[in-house]
Amino acid sequence: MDNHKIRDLIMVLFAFLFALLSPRALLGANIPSIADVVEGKASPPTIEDLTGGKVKNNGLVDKNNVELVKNYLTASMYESVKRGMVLKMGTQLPPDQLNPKVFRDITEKNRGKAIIDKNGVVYYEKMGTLWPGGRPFPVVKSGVEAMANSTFGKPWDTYMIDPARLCYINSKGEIYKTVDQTFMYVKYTTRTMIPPLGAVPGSENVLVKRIAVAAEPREIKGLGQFTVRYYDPAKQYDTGFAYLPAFKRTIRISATTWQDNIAGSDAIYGDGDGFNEPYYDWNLKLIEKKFLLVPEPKMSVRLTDQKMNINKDFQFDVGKKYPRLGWVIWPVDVVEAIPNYKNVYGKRVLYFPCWPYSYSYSAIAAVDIYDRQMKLWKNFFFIYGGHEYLNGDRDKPQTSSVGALTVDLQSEHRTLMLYTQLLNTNKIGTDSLSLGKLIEMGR
Amino acid sequence: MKIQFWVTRTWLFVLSLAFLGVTEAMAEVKLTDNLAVAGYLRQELAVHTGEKNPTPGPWTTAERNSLNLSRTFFQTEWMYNPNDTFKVFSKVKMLYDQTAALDDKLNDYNAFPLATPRYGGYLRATNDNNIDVEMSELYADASLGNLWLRLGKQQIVWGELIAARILDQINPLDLSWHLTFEPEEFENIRMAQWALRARYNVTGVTTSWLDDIYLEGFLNPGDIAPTVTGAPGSPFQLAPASAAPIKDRRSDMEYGFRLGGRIGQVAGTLNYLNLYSDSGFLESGFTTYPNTELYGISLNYALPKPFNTTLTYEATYSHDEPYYDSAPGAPRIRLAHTLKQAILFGQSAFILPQPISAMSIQFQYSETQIWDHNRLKTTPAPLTNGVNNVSADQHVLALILSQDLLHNNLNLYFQVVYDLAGAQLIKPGIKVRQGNHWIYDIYGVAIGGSETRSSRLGYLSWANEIFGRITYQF
Repeated sequence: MDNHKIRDLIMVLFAFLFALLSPRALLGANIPSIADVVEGKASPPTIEDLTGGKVKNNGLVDKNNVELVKNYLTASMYESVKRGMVLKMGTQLPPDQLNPKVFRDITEKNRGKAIIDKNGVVYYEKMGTLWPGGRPFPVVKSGVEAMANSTFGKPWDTYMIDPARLCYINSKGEIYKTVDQTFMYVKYTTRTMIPPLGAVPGSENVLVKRIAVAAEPREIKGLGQFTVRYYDPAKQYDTGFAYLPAFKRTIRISATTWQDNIAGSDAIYGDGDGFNEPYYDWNLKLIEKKFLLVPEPKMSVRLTDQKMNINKDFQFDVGKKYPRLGWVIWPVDVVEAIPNYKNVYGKRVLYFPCWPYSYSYSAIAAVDIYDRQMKLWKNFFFIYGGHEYLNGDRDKPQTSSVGALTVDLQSEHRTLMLYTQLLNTNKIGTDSLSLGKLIEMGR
Repeated sequence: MKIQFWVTRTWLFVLSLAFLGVTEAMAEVKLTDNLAVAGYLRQELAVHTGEKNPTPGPWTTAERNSLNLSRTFFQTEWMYNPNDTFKVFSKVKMLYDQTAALDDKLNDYNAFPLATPRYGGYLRATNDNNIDVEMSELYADASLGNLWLRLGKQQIVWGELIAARILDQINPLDLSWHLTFEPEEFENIRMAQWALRARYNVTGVTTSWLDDIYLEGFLNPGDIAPTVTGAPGSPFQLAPASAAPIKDRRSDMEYGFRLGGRIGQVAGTLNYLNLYSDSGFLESGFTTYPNTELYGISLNYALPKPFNTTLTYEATYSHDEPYYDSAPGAPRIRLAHTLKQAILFGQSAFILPQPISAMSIQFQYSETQIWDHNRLKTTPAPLTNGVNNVSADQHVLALILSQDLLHNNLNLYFQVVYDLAGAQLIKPGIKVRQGNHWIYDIYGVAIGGSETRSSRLGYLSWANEIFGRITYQF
């Protein structure tokens, strides 16, 4: 064999060796692009695909192997795993099992027809025409579009949680107190599921009304809020009232209430839905699209029973600090949000699953929360897995949330919120939520 | 200190401990799917730090009493909720007052002045100086679409202000055991009355600027009772015992109605109340309770960023508020035009370095204007300037600060009320919550100032105290 051929052979062997040591190089061609996944040309990759088999599809991620999946975790989730959280690789569902067909259909029908004003308010084809419903921007090109999806593209017209149990967990992993609350939300515009569809006549300026009332312990039973979010919050800011049972009085509350914590928990009212405050005075920037580990859309084991008692068969890690949940890979839009005014938060980094891989409750899967000094402060994520068919209709799958975990990484205190969510329930309607209802529910 | 009373009252403690044992691990106790009970066991102690009560009464000595209050509360709240339409609620109290037993400076006095046969409508099972068992509230709610009804023995609270009762006039108060010092203001001292309350949500008129319209009214068909003050010999006795026969208003009617709603960002109510005076007036040898009509308004508004402040305004006008005629002679009632109004500013502000919980800041200015004040006095005694004369106006400032810490396990509280005529009340407090069940709180009450007329804040400086409570809730 002459020197030429020997050299060529060595180079081929070298390339082969390099490929073996770098699985990405060999397998890179098998990882679909995010564009292909959202267009339905490919399924999301599995964790095995992404890690070259080092993490199995039915395996665990813990502090010993978290570096293998660091790129597929939020910053705060990575921190939590290093501190003891264990992720179980979970069960994927196809997009047609995630949201009702009617919502998917209206999203497709209205694709390309959403326009957005300078404050992030969505309209249909021309300014002033209300968005009829469906996800306004199936393919997100900016941070504002992602937030607009979350605000104007919800697949539910009503939802109710009764009760939600907040479990306060100390640094030892012990639940030392609980607070039960009832939440009720009704949309007045962008309705797709329950008549009247579109907008409720007479309430075209209202986006959603909400009531939240404490049920236990006795001292705060009946303590509640009634708030109205308007379609254009830059033109009409939130209207809010609170009922104080100890004084049997209703009082007016201001918009800063969004920044206050929920009953002393680690979450603030603005964390509801992942980002519940008006966003017109936040700087929103789409950072990247990536594959991310997100909570599985359907749990195999229930987290709680109907009375919100934790299922004793459900595994936790580090005491009750971290429920051992199932996780799947979804494509997400990563959006950085920085407030233009003094806020309790310095920054939020939000992870929005890309349509059609999206939950029914919220467009946001997880949030990294930073303090005013831009230090990582909290890990917030929803616990999904409440997959069901609305009224048994197989064309109306819904992926509801069954809880949320907020971890204060600086103080090592956390709040685990547990609930059963009734999405698109007929138990509440457009006449249900009012100041009078708040007083009725009070003590 | 008289100790043997503990033995004779053992049953109350045994019952409470038994209940505690059952409910240790529970919050609200669900007896059936539709019936639940919640409540608390509390011991409250108030140590008297002020001067001797100047009210003439059957005091044992000239020395001031050491205790203002020592009382055990066992309160249960029963909720029957078979469906979304109908609900029944009942509040049952068992109270045991040990104040006179523990303080040698006090004679035994009636710690529960309402526990008399005349007040059978109050569902009180006892007529004892020191023990009270009663069903203080009992009502049924019905939600029928836009109509909501509440029928039964209830508190009806209109008004949104702190430390002032402008529209909150419907129920009389039980001032006999702790004046208005309780941290919950009036909830524990407002006397529930048998009444029908109804509210109708007006739908179909909602527009982009008009929303939440409702009509509300109440009717008390005859369960009229006055505000109750401390019995003779009580640490909180406010007036000498009166031998005058009473012309009470039981079987007379009180009623009121209001229209509420929101126009844009301004919410409010227009109110009319037809009530009988909560305080008795001596005339022609009888204690009587004159009728009063009140016309009221409330408005509230939230200022947006950067102010983030709420404004609440409340006012009532009466053309027939009762006073005493200041002219010499036998006591006579004189009715006068009276305007009461107040404005409250509220804000939640993050003042701590790590903005976890907002401080609640409430600042309120209230005033009372009285026409013909020179012809009026506040007591039947002869007119004495500086004692029972009436000023043309009264101006009061109030500030309340409340800060939760440590995941609401600790609350710091500070209240100051200042009568611009020269009197102040300062009330600091701390509350600690442990888990779901235990609550410990302690407060100070310091009243002082040069304005000491009987109808004014400064008059109560003799009642100054430090009080604490230990509560187990379930």
